[in-house]
Formats: sequence, structure tokens, C-alpha cells
Amino acid sequence: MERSTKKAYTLLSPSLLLFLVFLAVPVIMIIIISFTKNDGYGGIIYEFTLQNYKIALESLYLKIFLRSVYWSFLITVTCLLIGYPFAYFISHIKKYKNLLLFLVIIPFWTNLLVRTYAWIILLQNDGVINGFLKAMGFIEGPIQMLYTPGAILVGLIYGFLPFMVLPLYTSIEKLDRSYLEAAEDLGASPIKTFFNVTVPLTMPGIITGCFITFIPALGIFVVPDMLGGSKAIMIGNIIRDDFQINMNWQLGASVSVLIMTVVLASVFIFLKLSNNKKAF
Amino acid sequence: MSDNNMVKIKDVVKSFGQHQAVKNVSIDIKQGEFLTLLGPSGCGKTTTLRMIAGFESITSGEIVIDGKSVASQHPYERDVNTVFQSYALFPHMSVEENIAFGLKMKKYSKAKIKEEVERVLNLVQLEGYGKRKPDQLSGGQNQRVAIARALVNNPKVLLLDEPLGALDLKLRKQMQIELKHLQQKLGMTFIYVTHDQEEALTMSDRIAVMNDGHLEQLGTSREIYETPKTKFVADFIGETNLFEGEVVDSSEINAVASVEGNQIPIKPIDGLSPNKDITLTIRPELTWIEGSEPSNGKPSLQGKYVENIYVGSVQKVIVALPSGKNIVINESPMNASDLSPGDEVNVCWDVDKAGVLTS
Repeated sequence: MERSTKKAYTLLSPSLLLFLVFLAVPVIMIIIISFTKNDGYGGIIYEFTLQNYKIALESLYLKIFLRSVYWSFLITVTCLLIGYPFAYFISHIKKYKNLLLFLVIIPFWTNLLVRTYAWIILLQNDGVINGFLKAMGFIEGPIQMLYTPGAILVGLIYGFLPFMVLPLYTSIEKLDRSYLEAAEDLGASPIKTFFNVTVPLTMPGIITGCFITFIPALGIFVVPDMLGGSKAIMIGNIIRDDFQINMNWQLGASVSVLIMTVVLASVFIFLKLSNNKKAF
Repeated sequence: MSDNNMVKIKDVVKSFGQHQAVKNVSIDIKQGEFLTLLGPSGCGKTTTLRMIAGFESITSGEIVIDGKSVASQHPYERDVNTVFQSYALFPHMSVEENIAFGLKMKKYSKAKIKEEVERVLNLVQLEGYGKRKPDQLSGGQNQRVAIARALVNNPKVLLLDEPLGALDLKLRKQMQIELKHLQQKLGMTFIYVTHDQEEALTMSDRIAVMNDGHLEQLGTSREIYETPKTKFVADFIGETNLFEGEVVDSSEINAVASVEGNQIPIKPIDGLSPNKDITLTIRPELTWIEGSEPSNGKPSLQGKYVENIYVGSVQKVIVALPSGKNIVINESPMNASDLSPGDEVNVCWDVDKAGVLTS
């Protein structure tokens, strides 16, 4: 027993080292920096202060933070509502199953940046959609689509949908059809079967899908930057600006720490709740 | 319901693409009857059961439950419940919630549901287990929950798809008896699917033996075992010795056939005529060994003693006939055999105990 544990750690050491150097150390650095002072030129003065957190919790930052949470929530729910029927459909068909799964995975082959540029081409004033609508005579002038909150939401839903579909597909595919037959046999209509049996039994996929959509959506800055212009920004943009433009690492670090805390707390509470209900 | 039939299966066919899984099966099942669909795997018995439950559509023919054709009814509209082979107990619900599911769907009051759940838990002897999850119970207990979950709905017909298949032999035998008693106590119509002929013989009022999609024979346990109508049934139910033969002479009171090169008296059944091919089925337990040819005209075949296999409740004596074919005789394990391999013996039986099959 003792020996095999030692062996396991030896075998794991490369990944543990990687994890330590590239994840744990930076996170600890961020936490330390968030409590230090700025010398006014971007330098770090190692003196303890809570000033950064005071600013981070001011109404402007808080407002953007709450808006980001709201948008991420909206994106997650939309991805779930689109993704669930889609995943259900893929796992229930026999033909073209692999083709459809392939189509879900294809976007991963291209960088999100490039794919977001494609959305700019689609959405801009002289872009594909406006051009088409104009040519068909539906509109006189272009509709402003790019650089609106709507564009950000569309771009993010597009970007995160595969992350939602894949875990959902996995847990729907695993679901034993005899449970559905049993429900039907006991007098449950298809709708009742869905909500009483299918949803609770695929809850692991739903939870995973929601987490891996919500958490990165909360921190993303590339997509809102490109599709939202300078008006509609999310908390990720604020952090990026503090680090790269304002040279205020302390503020960026404290906002990051706050987000991490909120995300970890919500994950913890959610897992605790779903565990209590034994939804696996 | 004038004719007392709870379920009528009329000329039912089920095709999957080119393959016919069920071929023109017709069975009438009486109210309160325990009917077993018996056959090897792939014989269409489960497909037939699934058509009654509504999980499979009927390609042609009709199924009538309590006087109503159910072709257009979804499974959730039918007044039947199923005990699944895998039990299919909902893993996210407790035993109580599982059992209450059907009643909840029918919108029973909370108090009524509680009362009914208590009643069936009592019926399957699982009082006090209501709060547990299926994964906290043994296979046998889950089996009882699955039965309770179906029974609580008080269905007109209970369908059981090899429900005891996953249990060990001892528990299975015990559950067979319990299920039979439960069925008699409730007076409910049971349709039971199994490939285990002993299970079928133990529990059923009537057995429908199926093979390759069609119904081979329908009858009581005794009829199926003692007077099989086809070679398949004779061979599938219990152990038997089958011999091909040809009728030599037949009249209303006696008949003789040529079997294994011997002229042997056979049971004079209807439809025998000289030169007709027949199959003789002789149960090992209805034969015995004699040293010399019986003088009283009983049929017998001469052969050489090969070996004696002790299997506990009986010992199987193997005798090789001149053609090389073996015949098995069951003897009481109490009889010590003084035979040695190669000894000439006569295998005897009573004329009317050997089945004569013409198909």
C-alpha cells in the first residue's frame, strides 16, 4: 500500500510539478500582489493594504462585475436550452451520429479569436447579414449589430455551446433506456418522463456543462473586446486593462481574487446542494 | 368481458425489417391466469411481451386487453405494468418514491399514496426499507421493489420479463414460489417470460412454448411435459430420448413402428398409417433396464451398457444402441449398479408412456 502510493506520486510528479509551477505559483502571486501598494508607475511596493479591494468593490467595478455574472448566467442558460435538445437528438439517432458529434468538435480546431473575426464579418454594417438583408430589400440602411451587447451574447453562446453539448451528450448517451420505458410503463407521459426521470438522471452532465460554460464566460475578455467595442465591457476586460494598460496590477489582482472567491463559493454551494439531493 | 379472457393475442406478427420476430401468434389469456411464454433466446417471447406493454408496435394482428384493442394506446395509457429484467428501478429515488411513482402519475392524494406504498411493501415483505435507495439493497430486495412498484398500480395484467434471471439458484426457487402465491392471493393475470423450463413448469397455469417466432404448443405444465405435440417441445422441456422411426402397422388399438432397426409397439394415436415417419420421445425417468428382453410384449431396445453418471437426485445410465446412438435412463441413486461396460442390456418402457410425434 505504502509503496504503491509512493509509486503513484513518482509517476504523477511531472504533472504535479507542472501544476505547481504554472497554476499554484501564479495564483499565490496574484493573491499576494492584490494586498500590495502601487508606486504610481506600475511597480510593486510590498506593504500590506486593503485599498485595492476597497476600489474593486466600488460601484463602477461592482456594476460591471454583476453585469458579467448576469451575462454569463444568460449565456449558460441559453446554451443549456439549445444544447440539451441537441445533445438529446444526437444520442437518440443512429445515422449521422458521428457526423453531428464531429461538427460539434470541429470549432475546437480553430482559435476562438479567428472564429470571433468570422462573427465580425457576419455582423458588421457592411457585413454578410446586412448585405443580404439589403440585397433582399428588407432594409434600407444597415442594422447596427456589431459592438452591441447582443453581439457579445451571440458570440459567447456560439463559443461555449460545444462545452455544454459534450458533457450533456455523454450523460444522455449513458442513460439506460429501460428507465424511460419503466416511467412510461408506470403511466408517465413523455413530458413527465423527461422531467421526472431524464433530467434528474442526466444531472451530472447538466452540472458539468453549466460549470464549464459559466466559469470561463465570466472571465473572458477577447470576445467582448472584439464584438462589443469599448462600450459593453465585461469584468475580464477590466482585469486585462488594469494589468496591461493602467499598469495597476494590484487592482487587477484584487478583482481576480474576488471573482475566484465568488466562483469557488458558488461551485462549492452548488455541489453541496446537489449532493444533498443525491442528484449524483 | 363475456368470455372471461383478459388478454387476447390475435394472429400477431412483428417484423423488424426483413426479419419476422413473431409469426402469427394467437393466445387467449384468462382473467387471473398465470401464463408463461417459454422459449430459447431469440424465440420472440420478449418481443410478444413488449407488444402487450406497448413498447413495440404490432406489425399485423391485434392485441385486446380487457375487451379493448390496445393498438392505438401508448404504454402510459395501458392498464398493464411491467417488471423489467434489469428491474429499471430509478436510482435517484428511494424505494418509497419508486413505488409511489405510478400513483403520483395518476395524481393520487399524498395520504392515499402513503397507504398504498405501505400496503405493497408489506406484501413483498420489505417493511422498513422504504427510505433506502436501490443501490443500498441486495439483488433480491431490488427484485421485490420492482414487483411492488408494478403491483401498487393494481394493473389488469402484470408482465414479468425474466424477473428472476439475475438471482442465484436458491433465491430464485424461493421467489418462484412466492410469486406464484402472490399471484394466487391477488387473483391477478400474470404473463411471465422465461427461458428456464423448470421455472415455467413450477409457476404456470399454462405455458406457451415459443420457438423461432411461432407458438409451438400451449397447455398446462403437465400437458406440455407429458404430451408434447412437437419435437421441439419434447426436446426443450425436460430431458428426453428422441428416435426417428417409420410406422409399420397401425390400427385403432395398437401400432408398430420400425425404430433403430427393431419392430417396436407404439401408442396408437390418430393419423398413423404405414410408412408414415414418426418421432418417438421417451423420457429417461420412464424407462428402466432389464437383463433380458421383456416377455410381456413391452417395447424395448437392446444395447450395451456404457456408463453411469451420478448427479445427486438421480443416476443417469447411458446405454449405446447398435446404431451408435445413446439412450439415457434415469435410475434411483439408491440402486447400486453391478453392470460393467459392454454388458448387453434391454431398455424398456410402457407403450403409452412414449410420446409419438408425427410432425
